[in-house]
Amino acid sequence: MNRTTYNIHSIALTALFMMGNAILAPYIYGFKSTLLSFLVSSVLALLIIAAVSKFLNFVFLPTKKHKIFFYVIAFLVGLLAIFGALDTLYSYIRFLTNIQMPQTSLILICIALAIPVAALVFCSNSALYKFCLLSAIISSLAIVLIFIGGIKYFDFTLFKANPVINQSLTSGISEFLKSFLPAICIAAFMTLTKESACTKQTIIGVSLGLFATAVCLLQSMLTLGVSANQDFPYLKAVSVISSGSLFTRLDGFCFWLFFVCALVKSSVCIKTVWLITKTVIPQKNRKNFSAFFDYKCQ
Amino acid sequence: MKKYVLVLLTAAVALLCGCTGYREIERGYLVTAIGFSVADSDFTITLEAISSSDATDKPSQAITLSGNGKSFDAAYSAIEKQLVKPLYFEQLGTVIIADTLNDTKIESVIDFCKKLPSTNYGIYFIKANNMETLFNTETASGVLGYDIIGIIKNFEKHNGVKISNQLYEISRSSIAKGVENMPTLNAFDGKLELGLANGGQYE
Repeated sequence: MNRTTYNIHSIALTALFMMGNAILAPYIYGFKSTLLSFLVSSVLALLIIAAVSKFLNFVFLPTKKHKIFFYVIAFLVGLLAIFGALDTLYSYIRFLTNIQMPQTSLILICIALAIPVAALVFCSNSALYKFCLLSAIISSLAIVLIFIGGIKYFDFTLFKANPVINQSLTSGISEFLKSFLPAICIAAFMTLTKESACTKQTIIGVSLGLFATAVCLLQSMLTLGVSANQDFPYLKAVSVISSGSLFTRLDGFCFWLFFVCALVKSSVCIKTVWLITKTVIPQKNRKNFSAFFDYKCQ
Repeated sequence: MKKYVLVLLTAAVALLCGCTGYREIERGYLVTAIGFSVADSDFTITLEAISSSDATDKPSQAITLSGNGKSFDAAYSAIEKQLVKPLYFEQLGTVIIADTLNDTKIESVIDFCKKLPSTNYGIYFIKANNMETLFNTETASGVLGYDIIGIIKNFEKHNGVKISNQLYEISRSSIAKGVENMPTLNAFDGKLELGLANGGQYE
């Protein structure tokens, strides 16, 4: 029987997850110090996620030998996933209430957001993967087009700015790691849905996601300079792009990007918690659990 | 059945997002230009706004509003208090700063503009020597904010220069450098004359 591997889909999911709320509200303080802290936190995140991915592959395999160890790790991963979901939803809801839908009540916004999140959490894994692949293609096209359109507004002399060391560097690294490290739960997600952590796809996806985030960060800083340390800098950087008198205020193109990245990150985190809960709590009918293992990665 | 319900719910999300937070044009003032000046500790903000429901002589339906206070925030609050409709800044095109303002006050103007809701970072900054005359000048389209942008763009096109006086350009480096890039717009005898720091002019 042919089984779909969803390798490229996994990469797309991981890339969108990494972008999450990092493109929405990044920590920017000083040009060179921000770039340096982003670089350091990216390398750290990549190494940690790669190492943990292999480790979780071992822990989440259904065997009685590692039971207590499994419960502890499952609890920690679940906590990280909950943090990732809440952090992302908080950032995105703040964006909706301040920028996109300022006159709409908070309750209505939360309800409107809960529906697509719930839809992705409770849909089949194959549907989630396909949605992520499609969204990643559209998002990457949007980022590339926005970057090309924004090049004429860049000020490359900002590269000569002196770095601010110590305080902002450590703050920057911790803020970026706060956004990136919940990606550890992707390894748990992959293991619980694919019987393997798919370390190779995870690393590729993390790298692509970090690269896309770097492009957005660079565009924000090269366009806005010291003003990039405000809320939602990427949105403001895109708002200056115009072509003639007809094509102005193109910041609306960012709305899709922010929506899909926040949606994927929060949904995958919540779905991971749900899958871990189903694994930890004994099932009356164990046959139901095996239905989640639809496919294997190579 | 579940799929159809899910599709309906997802479609409802997209549709509902458009039903709230909308703006009725006649229920607010679309600000097109905003001016900042200070005289003897008296801060003044002057706005040009388009209102489709207020009585006005101009075919463009542009009106001028102003407020005074001990600070720019107080002056803005004074304007809001006299209005029954809200101010919308999505169409703001030009910020006019009196040429008597020092760098510190210009920095506070820039910070003030960044805090305005829905401000585009592509708005243009210019200096003016006479705010009242400028806002009372009849322009080609009747909307001062847009006509100033037209003057700047025509100057750039005909002279092959880039003036670099938009908000994102002014605020991305030091205020002193940003102020250097601001051209001056002088209004006299019903004409508007753009003056650059290097002496170039355009009418």
